[in-house]
Amino acid sequence: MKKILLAVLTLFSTTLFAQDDLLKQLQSQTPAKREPVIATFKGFKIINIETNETTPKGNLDFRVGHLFGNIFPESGGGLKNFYGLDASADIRIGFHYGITPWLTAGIAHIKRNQTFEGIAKLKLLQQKTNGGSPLSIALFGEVTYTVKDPKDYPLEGLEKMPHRLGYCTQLILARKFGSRFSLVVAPTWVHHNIVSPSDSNDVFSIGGGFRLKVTRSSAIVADYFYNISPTNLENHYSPLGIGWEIETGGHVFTIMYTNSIGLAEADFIPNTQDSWKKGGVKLSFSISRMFKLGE
Amino acid sequence: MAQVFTAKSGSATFFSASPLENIEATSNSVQSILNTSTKNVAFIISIRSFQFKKDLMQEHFNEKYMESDKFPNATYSGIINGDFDLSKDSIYEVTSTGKMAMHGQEKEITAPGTFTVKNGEASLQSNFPLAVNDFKIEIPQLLFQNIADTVAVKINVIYQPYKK
Repeated sequence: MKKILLAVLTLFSTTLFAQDDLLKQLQSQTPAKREPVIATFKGFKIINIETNETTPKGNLDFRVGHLFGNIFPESGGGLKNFYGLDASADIRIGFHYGITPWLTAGIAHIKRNQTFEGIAKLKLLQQKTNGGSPLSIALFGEVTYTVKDPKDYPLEGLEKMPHRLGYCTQLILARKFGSRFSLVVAPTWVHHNIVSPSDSNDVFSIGGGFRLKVTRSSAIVADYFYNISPTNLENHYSPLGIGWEIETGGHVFTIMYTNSIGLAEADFIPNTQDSWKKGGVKLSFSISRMFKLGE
Repeated sequence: MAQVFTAKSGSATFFSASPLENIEATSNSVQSILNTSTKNVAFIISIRSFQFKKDLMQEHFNEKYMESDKFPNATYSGIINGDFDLSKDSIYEVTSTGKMAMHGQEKEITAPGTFTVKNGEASLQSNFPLAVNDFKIEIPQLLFQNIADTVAVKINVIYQPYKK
């Protein structure tokens, strides 16, 4: 009996296969693979918060960030400086290079406080499909160095080199839900070697942000930082940004509104003194252009 | 003589010339199954397995055009027209007609193919054009200017007798 059954089965499996059954057989032999989740975010940053994304290996990301002045008259904007467009609160010009798929290093110059900035981001864990890791995790580090002339800032102790430094460390936790929505949460530590006597050297903050893809190439983005250990800075406000992100080919262009005061993490997280409620909101944009170097 | 043959790690390339930059990608994980008595043949290719020279192009290909998170594979199942004998060293020119499925769309195509049997090893090569519009793959003018509506596809697999 068994032999007959086997013979019948063999007959079916070898001669009477409909072509779709052959495809089904092939599909059943091809289990779904764990693939890295791609395009959680479209670049290094959303607005103010770092993402889990690094620069692809061998690629150079040329980034320009521009933060205009406050828009509304109650915070110094208004018609006299064309709603902040004549005043640039900050400008950042940076180059990020993908050393490996997991490690990006970059340098930048930032207008505010005449700052040079070095950054690094390390991917620790990659979200994967089909039962792989549910999260992407990355570590971000920033060092800022101001080249301000001590004579012009006698109170800041800039004669000593360590006093010119600022640091930011972020643990980045990100997840893409489906194909349109991505979330990031980033516990953050900012340290300055010297601050004004009433302020604190260390600030702990938690950042959160999202990207919601609206069309194939554009998305609504927003992020926010809440300082857990408040700076003693008078009138500190939490930086909130909301923007529209457009991707075309190798460019990512973001136009946004934010109350943050600068473009360096070590600066805007402790030092933001402009408030959305008091009209301290600024227009900002960033452009990222990716160049593939070599083959 | 075995009637069912399978192929693993076959290659697939597609190529599209455009004035700005050529678009080219290769996959080395093509799988196929062939029944020589019914002349049925099937292929499956993971979209994510296509490798591009530019990382961003690969990301855009998956995310924006193929939507590979929703449609992870391209498949073909069809029948081979023409005679061939994988047990005899020779070159056999055949065609195949069947259903090509990708990006959630299905289309009947006919493609030429060549079986090469040499020293008992059977391989199949096939070159054919594919119209991207047939599979609702939209390529915006903004991104790739003057990209051709059809891409040239090359498939190459080596068949082994199927072992359970």
